[in-house]
Amino acid sequence: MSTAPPVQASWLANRRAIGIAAGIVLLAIAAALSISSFWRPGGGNGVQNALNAGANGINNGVASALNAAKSVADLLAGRSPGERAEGTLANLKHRRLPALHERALPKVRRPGATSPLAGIVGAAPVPPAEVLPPPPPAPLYNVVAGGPGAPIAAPPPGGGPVIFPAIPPPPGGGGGVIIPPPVTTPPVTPPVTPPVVIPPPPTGAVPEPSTWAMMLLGFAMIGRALRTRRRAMLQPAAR
Amino acid sequence: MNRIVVALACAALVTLVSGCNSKPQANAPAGSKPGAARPTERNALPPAALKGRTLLTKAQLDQAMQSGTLDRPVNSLLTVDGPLHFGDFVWNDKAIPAGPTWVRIDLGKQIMSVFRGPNEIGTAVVVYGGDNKQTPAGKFHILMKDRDHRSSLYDAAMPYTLQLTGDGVSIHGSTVRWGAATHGCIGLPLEFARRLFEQAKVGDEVVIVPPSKAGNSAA
Repeated sequence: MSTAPPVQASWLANRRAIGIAAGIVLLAIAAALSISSFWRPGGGNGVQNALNAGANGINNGVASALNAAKSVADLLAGRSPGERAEGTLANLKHRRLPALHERALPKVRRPGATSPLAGIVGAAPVPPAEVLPPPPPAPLYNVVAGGPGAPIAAPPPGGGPVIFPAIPPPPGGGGGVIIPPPVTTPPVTPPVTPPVVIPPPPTGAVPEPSTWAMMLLGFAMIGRALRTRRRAMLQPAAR
Repeated sequence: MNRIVVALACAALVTLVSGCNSKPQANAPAGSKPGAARPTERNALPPAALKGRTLLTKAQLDQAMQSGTLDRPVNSLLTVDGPLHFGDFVWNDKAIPAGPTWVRIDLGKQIMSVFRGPNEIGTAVVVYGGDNKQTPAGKFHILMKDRDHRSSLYDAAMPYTLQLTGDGVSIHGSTVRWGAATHGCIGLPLEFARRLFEQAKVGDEVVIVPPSKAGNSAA
């Protein structure tokens, strides 16, 4: 029992000495790192750089040791984001604009032949096209779809847009006939191609009345079916 | 007792400080086994070039050459911690001695490696041709350089173009993002493309490794 207090005293003294030594070590480490960082020519940020350098050194050492155990293929694969399962084309570049000759309005090189660019550009073949209505007082010419050799000289009463037949402007026979109206003005040679060709209008955003009617009818049928089915399912439960 | 503790602490301190000061020297042989013999020219990297770099051992190089991963001796690769993201790249040519530039592109891994001699100086994630317009594989030489090229075929900007084939397959700056593809070219992050453009010359070699097909690897 008499030896116990000296042991405790020496243990406390040792603890104090260990604490002091640890403090000295920490201070010395900080000083050494900061001094070594100042010694480096590019070291700008003192302790931070030194700590980073030390950490990088340790990391590099560990990483190099680990990398030495890997194959080159594994090293290269380790930086890969992964293989691509399926390539989606044309996500990078802008949509390809049509070439200059494709941007022009389609032309008919041979009567009765569709444009070879029709499938590329995606426009309608060539002319089912509309011709702007001529001015009502003196229409240049009128086109009426009729049988071959059936000229009708009467102008259309309403002056609305006149639709060409599906055959391009130079009539290939059997199509419409272009007859200049009897006017007093000097004769105007009808142009080979329509003066203004408007591409076929896109489908309207508002559905046609028949489409509306069909949709409403469909909804009505669906509602009726649901109601009858629900009623049929509820009836046994009510009993 | 106190003196012993203080002495031990001082010894530890001296050891630690000496270890910190000798970091480059300790890092130099980190990638090499002590017993592995290495050609002298492959050890010619200055200490300043060793940071962020993994030296290949002879065993690693032999295995890579035998497996076809590499077709020529490589001294060091850049140390990349983890997978790169799309648009990321690493470029480190600090203190790397001069040498011929060559490029290795792994289509399957979507990784490009730029080498100066036997040392890798840059790596990046790339995008390549889609399934309908596949990027050709093989060895190519840079045919033409154009800093501000514009594709006449696709009407698209192709900055820092390095043309590889006569029909227009090139390496150029592009938008690198997940799931994207090209019409056969190799797309790089723009900054990486600029650095590669500055580095590469007409005639430099580009090796394009095709994506490995399951079942074809044994053939």
